[in-house]
Amino acid sequence: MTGWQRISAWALCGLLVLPGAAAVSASPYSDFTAAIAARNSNDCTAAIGDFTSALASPDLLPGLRAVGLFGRGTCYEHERNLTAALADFTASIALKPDYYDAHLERGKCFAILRRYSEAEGDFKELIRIRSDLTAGYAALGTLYDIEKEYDAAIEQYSALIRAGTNDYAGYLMRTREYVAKGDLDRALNDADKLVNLMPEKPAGHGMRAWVYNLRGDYPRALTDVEASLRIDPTDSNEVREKGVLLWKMERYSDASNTLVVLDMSDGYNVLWLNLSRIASGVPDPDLADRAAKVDLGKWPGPLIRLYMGQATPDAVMQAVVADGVDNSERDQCEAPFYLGEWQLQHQNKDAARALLQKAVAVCPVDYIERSAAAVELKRLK
Amino acid sequence: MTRNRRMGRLSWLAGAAVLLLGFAGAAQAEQGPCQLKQIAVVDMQTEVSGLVTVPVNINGVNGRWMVDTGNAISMISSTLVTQLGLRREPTLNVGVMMGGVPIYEVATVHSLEFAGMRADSYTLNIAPEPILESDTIGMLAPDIMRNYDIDFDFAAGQMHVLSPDHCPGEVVYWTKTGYARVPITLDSTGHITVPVVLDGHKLTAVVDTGAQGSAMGLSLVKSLYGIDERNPALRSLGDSSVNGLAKTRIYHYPFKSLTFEGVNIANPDIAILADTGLGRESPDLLVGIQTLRQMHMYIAYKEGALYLTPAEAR
Repeated sequence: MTGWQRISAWALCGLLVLPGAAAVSASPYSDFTAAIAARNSNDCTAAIGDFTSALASPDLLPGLRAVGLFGRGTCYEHERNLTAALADFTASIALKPDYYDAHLERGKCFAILRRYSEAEGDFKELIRIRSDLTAGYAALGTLYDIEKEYDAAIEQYSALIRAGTNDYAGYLMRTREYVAKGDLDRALNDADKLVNLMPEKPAGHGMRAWVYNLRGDYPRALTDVEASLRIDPTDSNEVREKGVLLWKMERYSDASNTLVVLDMSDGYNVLWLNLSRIASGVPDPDLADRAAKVDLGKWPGPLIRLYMGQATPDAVMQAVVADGVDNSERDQCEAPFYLGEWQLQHQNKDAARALLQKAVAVCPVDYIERSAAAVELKRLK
Repeated sequence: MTRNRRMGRLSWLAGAAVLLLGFAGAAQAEQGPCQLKQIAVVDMQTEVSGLVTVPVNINGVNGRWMVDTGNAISMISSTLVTQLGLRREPTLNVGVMMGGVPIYEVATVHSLEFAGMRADSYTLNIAPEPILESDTIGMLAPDIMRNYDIDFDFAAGQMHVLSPDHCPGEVVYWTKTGYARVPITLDSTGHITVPVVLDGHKLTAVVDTGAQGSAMGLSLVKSLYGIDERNPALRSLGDSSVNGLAKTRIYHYPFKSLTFEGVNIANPDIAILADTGLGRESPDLLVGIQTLRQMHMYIAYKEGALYLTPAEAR
């Protein structure tokens, strides 16, 4: 007899019952254990309750307390209760100042709340704690990108590449950053490295296609987009990229045939299919059917209503203003382009030219509408 | 959730040699022949995933090692290999971890300190970054642990490293209440296998502190229990990443009972993986840390036994 009966007795007491079954809450440790199991099962409500029970006891070991606070913080973060999450991450860091994950998650919360300097402090701290890991550089680079500090972001992504274990992610992010800065030569150099590093991955081909596209080298862009789609034919972003490329190359019928497979609950797909069909000289009889899948109250809904003849250009511009400050750059760049295209469809070339010039002037360099407006202006010459 | 679900980290290294440690500096108290000889008490930290880590120093760099009884050869993170400028060398003992993650490189460090002991030259497998917790620099595996007795006191956050030379059965020092002694089988790489019964069927299970949860393969569930995707009780939990790299479909089935020799667990929570990424020689079942941490677990590698009590038994 090796203790079978006694061990069986524990089972009857619930002490050896796995998480997921009814466990008996007997101590801060068992609450902590239940919380970890609930969190691993993505049951944040239960995890918060169990972590709270465990943390309420002064008997919980300090090491487990720091982890418990962090675990509960991530659950609050998951539930978008950022104030509670911040409090837990801060308490966790107070117990364990070098808690890498807690600095990372607290920094993310600060960034979401636009408390950028505090986010920057956390990300710098986690780079100090583990300079060999890539997450810190990626987080800090992303933060600088949000703040449009492109050179600072590029510096972080360069450090990420130097860390040497995730070159691909580093080049991917740095390419994007060079594009945002408008340095398309360096962007192309990084995109080349992406494709050479892992030619079997679609992202590198897609990224290089984007850079070629922005440089106006549409044949090479098309080659890369098609390479990307051969690897992953389901990537709707690349399908749209291909459709827009074909539109730029004046292969309007091919563009229509490419774009027609896309999900038409996305308003931009509705618009681009319309632009391609009308440009190819055929009508767009199912515009209203496609529009019915889109929430026309949200951007770019007002543009679709314009194309359907249900709104005026003035109404579109009013919608842009009413849409709020957050999206002003996007909408004030996009609105002139699509209004310009609408004017072209109505043979108002002068009005179209002025609007398209505005789009080129206002749109950030990495917006589809900017390069498309530039192409259209060339055609108008 | 901010982390990918991590399942087992079993590696099956064909013909992997168990390395002799050559650790020096361990102090052992003079004690009677049947008394346990403690070599070190190590701060064992529970990560938020439930996995546990212990302090280690590799070539002067302090960090934490994830404790993984389901692995074979201890590992160093790929990032640390880069940071230290170590030479990466291919290994003939190419291994495949759960999820099909390949391990194919090794690095030799000039100093490895763990539990107050030190090795002056030691070859470690290189772990790809995604399979490790973010603040760990490697994994402690049976190539080192099996030279000792290892006592996991999860509730107190301590790992005790003890001499394997003791009288059989004279082990459970932490409580005078009941305990279970479960005989174990060790394979050539130090994996701990125990016989279990899951809903009436005998299986072999591997004790795996490196696995977050318990897991088994769908093909076995189909062949042994006749349960397939058409069974309404087999619930798909969607696709999930295993070891941070490979994706596979995960299922859950409401098993009723899992019995070790001496331990009966009701309603065991077992993830069923559509593809474990392992070959036919893989174990039937992994018992992961989510289950193990509910116990105080003493592994007597040399004696060939597990000693188990409730985690908080004192």
